[in-house]
Formats: sequence, C-alpha cells, structure tokens
Amino acid sequence: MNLDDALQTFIVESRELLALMESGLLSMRESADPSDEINAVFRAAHTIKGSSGLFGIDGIVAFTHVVESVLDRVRDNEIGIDESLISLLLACGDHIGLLVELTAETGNCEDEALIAQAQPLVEALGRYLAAGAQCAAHTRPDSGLHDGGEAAATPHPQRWLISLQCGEPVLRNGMDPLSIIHYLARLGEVTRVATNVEGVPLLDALDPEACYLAFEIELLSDAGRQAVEGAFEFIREDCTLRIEEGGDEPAASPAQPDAEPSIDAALLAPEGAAQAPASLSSSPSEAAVAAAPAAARSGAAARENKSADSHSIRIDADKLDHLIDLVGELITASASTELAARKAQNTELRESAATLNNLIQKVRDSALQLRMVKIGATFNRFRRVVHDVAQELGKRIDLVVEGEDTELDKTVVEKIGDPLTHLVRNSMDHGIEPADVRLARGKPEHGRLTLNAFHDSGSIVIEVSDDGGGLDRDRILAKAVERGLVPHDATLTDDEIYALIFEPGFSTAERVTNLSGRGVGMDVVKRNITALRGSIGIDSRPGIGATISVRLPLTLAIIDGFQVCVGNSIFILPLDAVEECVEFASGGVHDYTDLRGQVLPFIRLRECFELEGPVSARPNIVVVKHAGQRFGLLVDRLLGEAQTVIKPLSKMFGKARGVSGSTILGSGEVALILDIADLMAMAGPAGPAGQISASPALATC
Amino acid sequence: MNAPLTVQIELPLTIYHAAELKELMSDALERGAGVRFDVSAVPEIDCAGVQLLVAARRSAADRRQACDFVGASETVQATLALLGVPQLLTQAQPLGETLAALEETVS
Repeated sequence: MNLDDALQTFIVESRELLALMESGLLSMRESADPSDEINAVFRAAHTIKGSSGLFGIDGIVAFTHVVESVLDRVRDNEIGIDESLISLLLACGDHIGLLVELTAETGNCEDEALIAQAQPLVEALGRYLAAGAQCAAHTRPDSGLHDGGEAAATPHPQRWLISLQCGEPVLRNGMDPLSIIHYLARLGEVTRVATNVEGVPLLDALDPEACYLAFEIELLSDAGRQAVEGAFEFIREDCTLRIEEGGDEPAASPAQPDAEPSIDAALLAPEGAAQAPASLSSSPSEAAVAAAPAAARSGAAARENKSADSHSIRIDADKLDHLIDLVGELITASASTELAARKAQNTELRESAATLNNLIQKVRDSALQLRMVKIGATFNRFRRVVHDVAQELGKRIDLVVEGEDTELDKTVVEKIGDPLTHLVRNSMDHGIEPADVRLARGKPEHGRLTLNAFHDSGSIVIEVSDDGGGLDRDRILAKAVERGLVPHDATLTDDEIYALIFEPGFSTAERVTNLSGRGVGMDVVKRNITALRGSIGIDSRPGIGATISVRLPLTLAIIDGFQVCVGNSIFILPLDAVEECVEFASGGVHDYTDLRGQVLPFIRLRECFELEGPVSARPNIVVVKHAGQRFGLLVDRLLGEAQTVIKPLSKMFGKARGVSGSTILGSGEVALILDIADLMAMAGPAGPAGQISASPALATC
Repeated sequence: MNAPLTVQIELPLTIYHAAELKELMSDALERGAGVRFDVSAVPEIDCAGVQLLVAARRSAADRRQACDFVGASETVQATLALLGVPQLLTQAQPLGETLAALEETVS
C-alpha cells in the first residue's frame, strides 16, 4: 500500500461517511429523539475532517471544521435542529462531497469557484454559531465571558503529553507520523517533539518501509481529548498510544534522555562509538520484546473490528465485467462443443460435454449473482431527492420504501437512477396535491410517495406510487389533441391516454416549475428504460393516486433462452417468459385459439417477420406471459432451452421491431432474441393495459 | 585509508524512495572509506527518511566510518528540527571527521 492507495481509501471512506451523514440528517426529522443521529452525523464530519487533515487537504479541513463546530453545538443542545438547519447541513455535505471529488481527481481541492461557493454556506453556519453562542451565554451565565468559538469551552489551553510508539506497518499503510504532528500543530501549539530513534536498526537490517520510531509530543491546545485522539485515528490500530493531560509545567519526557544519548552514544563520543555495536545489537531485540505484546493486542483488536467486515470484499467493477464477458464466451464455446460431440456420435464425449455444460451454467449463475446488488441503496438515495423537492415545492411528503432487498444487476441499477429520479419528481410535482387541496379532499396533509421493487417472471418491477390526484384523463387528451399527437375525434382507452404522457414534447403542467413541466423528461425516461429492454406502465385512479411501474430485465448479459425455429430462422425467447408449448391444431385464419377453454390470441411469427422457408406440418404455439398478459407465438419447430449470451444489435437495427438483441449459436450462426413486450405491442389492442412499447404507434403486422 | 566518498542524493528522502535510497547508502558505505552525502538537492524528508539517516549513521559508526549529511535544505532542516533530531545534521560533520581522524590514528 502506498500513499496513493491510502488517498483512494480516504476518498472511498469519505464518500461512505458523507452518505452516512446524509441519511443521518434525513432521518433526524422523523426521529423522536435525534441524539443518535446527531452523534452519527457529528462523527462522520469529524472523521472526514480528521482524515483530510492527515492528508493535508486543508480546504476540506477548514470547511468541515465549521460544520463540525455547528454540529458540536447541536449535540450540546445549544442549537435546536430544524428543517432549515437540516437543509443547510445537507448542502454542506454536498459541498464536502464536491471537495472530495475534486481531491480524487486532482489530489487537492484548491478551486476558486468552489471556495466562492462555500462562502454563503460558511456564512449561514456562522449565523448558527453566533446564535448558539448567544444561547449558550443565556443558559450558562458563567461562560458568558467567552462568547465565540471553541475557546468558550476550555478557556486555558490544555497541555497534552502524547507518547506514541509506532508499529511496524504504519509507514507501509501510507501514514506518516510526521503528518500527524503537522496536524496536531493545527489543533494548537506543538511545544516539543522528541523522536526516539532507539529502535532503528543498522542499515543492512533496515526494512526501509517499516517504522521503528517512537515519539514524545507535547501539545498545547484547547481542543478536547477527542480531537487530540482523533488525530491518531488512522494509525491507532498499529500503534501504542498514550495521551495524558499534563500540568502547567512542561514535564520531563522519559524519551528525551533515551533518545539523545542513543544518537550521542553512537556518534558523538569516540568511546561511545566503540560501545555502540553492543548496545545497538541489544536494543532492537529489547524493543521487539516490548513491542510484541502490544502488537499482539492491537492485532487482536483489529481482528475483532474487522470480523464484521470480513463477509464482504470490494472488487473492481471492471474485473467483474471482464469475468462476465469470459463466461459469455465460455457459454458459446460450450454450445459448439456440445454440437460437435453430438455430431461425433461419441457417447462418452457427449456425456462429458453435458456435464461441462451444467457446470458452466452454474458458473454463469454465480458470476451473474456477483453483480447483483440490492436496490435499497438506490432507493435510499431518494430520501434526499424527496426531501429537497418537497422543500422546493412547499409540500410535505413522506417517502415509503418497500422491497429494498430486491436484487438486480449492477449495470441496471446504475442506469435506472436518472429515470427513477424523474419519475419521483414528476409524481411529487404533478401527482401529490398541495396541502390545502389535500385537506379539502379529506386526505392527510402529508403526501405519501412509495417506492417498491419486486421480482416478476424474470424481470424486476419498480413501482413509483403516490397518493395524489391521479392522472387527469381529460386534460391529457385535450393537451394531446392540442399538440396534434392524436386526432380530435380519436377514441382512446384510458390506458392509451395515460401512455400519451410519454410522447415527446408532451407536458400538461399548467405552469412550468423548476422541477418538471418543461416537456422534456417523460419521453426521455421512456427512451432510457426501453434502451434497457424494459417497459413502463401506468395505473391511475382519479383522486386516489397513480402508480408508474417500470419493468426491467434482471440482467443485461446472459439469459436462459428458449430456441424456436420458423422457416430457416432460429429465434430465441427468454425462458422466463415462456409458460408452456402447445400443438397448434386449428388451421383457421383467426389469430386466436382455444387454450383449455380460454381465448388465447397469438402472433404468426412467419408473417410478422415475413419469413420464407419450408412450412412445418405440425406447427406449435409457444405461450408466453408478459406483464400479466398471456399470448401465443406460432412457430414451426421447438428446439429447446439454451443459454444465451446477449449481443446488442448495432444502431443500424435500432428501429427493428420485435427483436431486442442477437446471440451466437453453438454452430456459429446468429439468432435473434425476440422482444416479448414489443411483440405484444405490435399485436395492437391485444396488448395489455397501459403497457408502452418501443414505439407508441399501434402498428400491426 | 582512502578519502571519503561524496555521494549526491537527489531523490526525496521519503517512503517512496526509501528502498532505493537504502541500497544507495549501503553501497556507498560498502566502499569502506566513509561517506559524505550531499543532500542539498533533497526536496523533502519524512519519517522513513529520518530512519534512513539514523540507520546509515549507525551502520557507519558500527564500521567506524564517517557518515555525514551536508547541505540540507531549509525544508529538511525544519523537519528534523520539528522532530527534535537536528543533531543528525548539525553535529554530524565535525564528529564524523573526528571519528575518521580517530580511525586514522588507530590504524
């Protein structure tokens, strides 16, 4: 580990701490006794300050210090926490985030624009500090004399005697005791440092990256014990640390007489030089004996701390992607091996190919599982969005999160954030009514927004629901006619009307707000979700609320496929969507059949894709299910299950309907993967309620 | 006895270069005639660097050689002063020579 790694760790940890700070701030409002949250937020800010100090990132230290001071007052009940302070602290958290990101990019955070940006925040924080100090002066008359800054708490700087015995790994872990001393100098005045170099061995025995030093430090500071201890936070595990409050007189340090004679003995007096080898050879071993129990102790403590973390490791996302790519290649290779084995008519070979195939399937599943993440983290990010937007709109809105343990592919999670944000904003802005309207309608004053996620036949469904007024059918239709999106005499079902809000350039907001209503967004949302092979549906009840459900495939890389043959072409259906296969008996011209007494509409793939080739005498219907709707696909032959590595179609085929991707078969041929949702939409009115496909036009084939 | 060797150190005396510098110092001391390290071009020093200076001087003393560090920049001087080990620089030269002189008289 070198310093760069340590800086990376600092940045990753800071991001986590900032997220912690944010969630603490957000849950503060709801908590009856927010002291736990306040402490958590304070600790997060404190740790960020402490570690940026170690790295000498002064910009972050200076800014975070002000934040920390305010939080400290909040902790002591000198400043009451309220809505506006929470918003201010959230903004401060964001600013620290910006500083951290800048540090991640450039290694420091000196940026004129950012400094200017911090100014209003610092001023606002300053007002709280001033108010807090006044308040403190009222409640504690004895401290009335000291009316500003931290000095109020401890009028006289305290003398601290710090003795630090560095463990071997300190330097290797990227920590330099020197920078800690520099940091201490910022807390107060470092009046004396004695470095004990007794432990340093001869050059030949020296591990240049191990630390052999011990320090006695005398610090004059009005910061509390916590602040002083905080300076050592990063090396504490590897060190023996003793911090004592000294008297007013500088106490003699035990290291001083030790340290200086050792150098002097070796270098000053000629007779000392003669004795030096003996004393030097003994001292490292003594030091080692003394250090051993301490190291064992700190090692045990470290293990204890880490046992909680040992269940998970961080992996570079690129490595995972590479693994998935390789597994994809493996699947294709295994398919062609199996094909070759079948051709060779060698039973033994076929058997081992089958075993191999089974194993590869398991490898694929666990590889894909590695990329699965819970959606909870994404959902929790919306607490902040909801908080900010609600403030901006002057509405009171509570967020309810359900199904946060639902897992989905990391790449999907990353791409779903923006569309979801837009849906959430839209629901808050257009869905949930202002408080007075809500009260007049007999609803609770607080609006409620629910985020929910669950698995449903090979896809994940994410629902954004609000308890607002629902979509206004007539207004949407009027607007669509006005915009020329539909003819004025069109007869549309409710669901078709709701679907219009995803049309480009459509916006019904009576006034343009900062958040939504600019007519961009919902169509972009739909486009983004379609790009992920997903779909959007709307369910709205006037006066009760609306639910927008986004349906996405679980993974974008590899699926279990079901191969069918039409004419000379092979197509692949996602196996999860296939319900059953039935023989097609009726030779009629109707596009529906009788499935155990129920009407089953079906699509003739041959006609749909205008395919040539020999017609099968015994065609089959594959019954597929999508979004609660069942329909059939008429095919010539069934080929069975096969693992399918999805290769995206090139942009040239972006407009092709009914196919979502392609794959390479074991034989080297290319097969198209059918897009069930799109096929269903192509079939027109048979499409399920409110389901929107890649193209809004109700095409027929 | 040969004249002391002068070795120019241009790398920062920090953990990044500690391994490299250790080799350089060991090699210089191997020559057996005492070394004068010219550290005037050393921009900075950290705790790993301080350890190197101490170890080099201990090793030199062990071999009864001289080992000096001369021409330290203000930054390096300030750091060593802060850590309370300025004698690594200030007292080194005359003493190293004393030691060398002593060495010569003995042999």
